[in-house]
Amino acid sequence: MKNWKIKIKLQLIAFALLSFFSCNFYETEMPIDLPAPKPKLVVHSTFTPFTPPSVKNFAVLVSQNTEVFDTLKVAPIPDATVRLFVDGQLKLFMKYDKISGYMADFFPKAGIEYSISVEKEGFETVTTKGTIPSKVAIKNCELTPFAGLDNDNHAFSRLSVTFADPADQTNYYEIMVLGYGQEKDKYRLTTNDKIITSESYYPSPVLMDADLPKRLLFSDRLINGKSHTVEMTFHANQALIRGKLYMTPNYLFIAFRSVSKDYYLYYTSLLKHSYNRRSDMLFGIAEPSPVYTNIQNGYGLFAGYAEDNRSFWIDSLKVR
Amino acid sequence: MKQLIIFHIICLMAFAANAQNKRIISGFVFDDQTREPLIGAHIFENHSRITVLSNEFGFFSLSVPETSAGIFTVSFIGYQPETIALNQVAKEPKTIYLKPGLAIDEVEVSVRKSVDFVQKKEVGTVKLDPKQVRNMPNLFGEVDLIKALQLTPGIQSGGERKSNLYVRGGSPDQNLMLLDDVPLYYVAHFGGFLSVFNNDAISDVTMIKGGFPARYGTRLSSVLDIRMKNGNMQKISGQGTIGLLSSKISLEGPVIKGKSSFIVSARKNIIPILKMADAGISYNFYDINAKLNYTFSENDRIFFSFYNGDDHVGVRNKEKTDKIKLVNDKSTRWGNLLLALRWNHLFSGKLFSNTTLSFTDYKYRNLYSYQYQNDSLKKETRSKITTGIRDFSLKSDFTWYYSPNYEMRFGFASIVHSFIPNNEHYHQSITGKASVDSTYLSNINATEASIYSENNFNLKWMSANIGVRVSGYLLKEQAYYSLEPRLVLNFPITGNLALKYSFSKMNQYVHLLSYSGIGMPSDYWMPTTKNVLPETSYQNSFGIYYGFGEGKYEASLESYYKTMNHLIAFRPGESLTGNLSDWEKTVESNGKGKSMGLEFFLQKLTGKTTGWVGATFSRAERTFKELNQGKSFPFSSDRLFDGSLVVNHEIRKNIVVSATWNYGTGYPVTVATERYVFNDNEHYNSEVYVYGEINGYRMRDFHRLDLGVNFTKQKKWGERTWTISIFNVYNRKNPYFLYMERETIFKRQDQNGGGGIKAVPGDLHLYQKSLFPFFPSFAYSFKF
Repeated sequence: MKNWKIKIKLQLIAFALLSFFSCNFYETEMPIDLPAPKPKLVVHSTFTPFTPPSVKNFAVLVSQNTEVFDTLKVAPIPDATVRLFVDGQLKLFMKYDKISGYMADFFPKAGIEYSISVEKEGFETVTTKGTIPSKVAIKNCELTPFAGLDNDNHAFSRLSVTFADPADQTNYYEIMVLGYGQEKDKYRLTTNDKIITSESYYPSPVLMDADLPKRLLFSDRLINGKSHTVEMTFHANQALIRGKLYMTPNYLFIAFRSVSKDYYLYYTSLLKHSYNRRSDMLFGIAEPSPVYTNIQNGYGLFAGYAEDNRSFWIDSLKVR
Repeated sequence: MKQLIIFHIICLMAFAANAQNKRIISGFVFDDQTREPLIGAHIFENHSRITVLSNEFGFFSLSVPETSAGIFTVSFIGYQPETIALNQVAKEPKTIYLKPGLAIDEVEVSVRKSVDFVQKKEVGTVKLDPKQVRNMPNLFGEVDLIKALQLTPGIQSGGERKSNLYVRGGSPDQNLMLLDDVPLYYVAHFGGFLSVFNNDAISDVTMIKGGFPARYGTRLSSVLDIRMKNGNMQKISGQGTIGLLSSKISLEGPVIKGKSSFIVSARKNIIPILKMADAGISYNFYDINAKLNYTFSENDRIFFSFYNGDDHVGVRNKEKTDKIKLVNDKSTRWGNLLLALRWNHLFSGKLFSNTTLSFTDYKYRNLYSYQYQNDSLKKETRSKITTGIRDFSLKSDFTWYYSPNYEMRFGFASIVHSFIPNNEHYHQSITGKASVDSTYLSNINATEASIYSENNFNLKWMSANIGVRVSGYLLKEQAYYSLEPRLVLNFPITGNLALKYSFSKMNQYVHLLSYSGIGMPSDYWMPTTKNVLPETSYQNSFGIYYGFGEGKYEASLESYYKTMNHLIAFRPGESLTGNLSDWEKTVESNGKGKSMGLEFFLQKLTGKTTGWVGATFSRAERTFKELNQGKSFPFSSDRLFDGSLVVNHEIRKNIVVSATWNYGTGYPVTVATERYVFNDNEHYNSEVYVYGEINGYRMRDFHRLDLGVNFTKQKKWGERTWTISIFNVYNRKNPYFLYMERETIFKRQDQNGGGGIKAVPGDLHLYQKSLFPFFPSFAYSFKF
């Protein structure tokens, strides 16, 4: 017993030494010369039918690529020629607007093929097409504003979304929780639902310091044709006032989207790309993960989605 | 096949004449104190000047002319030789025990060993002495034979402190890692910092990089043949180490003295490093090696081997208030289980057999458990996702010692692979609702079988090992066959100089898809299917081998050229986690690989100073139709130059100092070359990097000096050793990985100085992360 205690003490001393010497994981800036990349147009557009309160016109953002270390801010391109086609027929030329990019006073519909071409001198013309999938309705949506306190004593909320997946076709979905109905205020979502945790973008539970996604994207691979409930938790707005923790009044907007395959591939690869750029003390850095694109001769996304949504008002609540 | 049969008949006829009127001397060579078999002991008949070596079980067979009245000598480096008069030898196999200690004429023993090295029909083969590995400097005080192998030519680690073996441009899954004849599928602990092989339980290590004998197959690039100790047959003894990362203990001894013995060796991390570092996760690992053997008679011995090792990473979130109780457990486990039963049988002094029945199981599991309870509701969810591979195998190997000039090895093997790409178990129970239990099993069974024959010829002007392996594979209705010719030719120029050539065709029916993604790396072993074909390789090696300095030194210069076909890799951006049912669509098959190199190896084997110098010039590349726009790209282990120096020096009998120095040109790396930005109102994800050519850039060159010293002292109860190691003596910042990070600049909200501070993205930079600086560590070992 005595020997054992001595050994433990030795190990603790050893560990202290180890901590002392290993606390410094070096970082060195590396100079690198890269060739100038071929100029390419970057197109971004996600479109949806008219779904109040989310009212979105058909808009296309156009910019360009740069050398990765280029310090110049990438500005939108205002003078490109953007043509919109509906089912292969030219519908209109889109007009540039400083806030929203190239706009069309036009609300798209599900099941119709939309395509665009973007021309700009000095760049290869890019083309792309996309459709809006059929809407899948939320059957039930339940929110528990205060569901408990986590390890750090922060309050968390619980949300469940139930829907019925249409059979005989592959469907892709996205769930987001937005504060005040603004896309900017998305909450990071935690789930243990295997239809999402088995997606390759969802971070491993053992990854230190991983940011959880603000979008839960998933396919119906494991639930095809079935009714399913996705449960998730998130940290809604809260404030510590004079040592007491309050959940602050909040308007939460739950977006449940039925998205196209291109949309799903783009955002899942984007999430994976973002996570794989991170480094980890124990496991190093992951293999680079490229981002999917459906833009011919360029980069970006042109894809449709259909949305069902719910909203909840949360009153102020003292939680501890 | 017809040609093969004719070839074997010719071999037999050609050597039949030499076999007339011969006397057979056979037996086993053991360590006198522990009764461990001595592998590669040298048996020399002085009248006919015939030499043979003991096999992996210590067995030898020597044919001498009936009229011979000379003596034969059994010797092994580090042991006193035994000389036996032929007329004292009976017909039955003889058991010879060699006493440890310096030979009276150590030079002579060394010379013989050196002659073996030159005369052996081996190309691209490295042997490591576990005792030498024990003295080498090590990080955290962890003795690791994989790290020692990485210091030999032609073998790369793939990165700082990794436990991978990239052999002659091959990938880690192309290595056949045998522990007592049974493959292990995953050999790393603790994120690759440590290998699963516990040096205390190992008696012999052989690494084959080229010139594969026909008895080995199933992988393309290398065979690592590790033999566990049998256990001391004479007395109970043990050893142990208390180290920074892990502590271990081994116990061995007789079960029935002289007939049966055991060894049990266990290792575990005692200090919960990550938990203490408040990283929010716990990381534990352990491994257990055990072996039991029983000698029925001189003709029959059985061995039972066991290995089990596991790594466990877990995160637990527990919460209890007056109203609710919540427990959330997430963990990942991976490890191997290995069981082997082997039977050595001696049909006669000329025919030796070994039959192995084995089971090996590699599993990688993601486990999740969630319990929530309040006044009215109790909810419980458990899920387990498993991926892995399980093999049942039966193999028999026979060695027929026909004459001193001809020896034949033949045998068969049959493996039933059970691939587990993605098994899922799910349970949910909620108060007032029916509980849900679902199980999804994805097991795919495939059968692999092989037969082989090796023919060893010894002529005055050349010796050869000519063999062939015929392998077959069956998955449902899909069958594949392969004929794998093997050839090793040895042309002795003088007694201590030889030229050697080898050719090997290798075939691999199991494929590894590794996803190094977010968090834990995941390994998926997948079968050959209709669309994913067996991987094949062809390797030519040529070398010059020279023994000098009265047998103290061995030098070799080897070149190799290897091509590989039907390699697989993930298509850009693909991974398996969400897509297992369509896995063949996520991979690019029909990849090609090419590697070539020149390896120099100089070893000093005996004396107070031992060690080696190794140097490799090499190139390794891959080509996939859908990767890198179809252009060839450097493989991840590609290095133009890699060199190492290993020195062990005995200052006094109880003080051994050691040093290793390693230099390598930079590993290739893929970096982003362009970027674009879009505005979807999500700041963190709005910047996208576009990656350039795969492995198109190089990290900085790597070099590092490690020093170690072992102080051993005899005690009443046995022996203790303090090992002090200094890792990275001159504090070189070697690259661990490269990453890009954007600066954050803090600015005032408005120009008048009001409105607070806001963070805005600054310039992007490329950084190199280095892992261990100057790092002293120590370990305490004991032996009784």
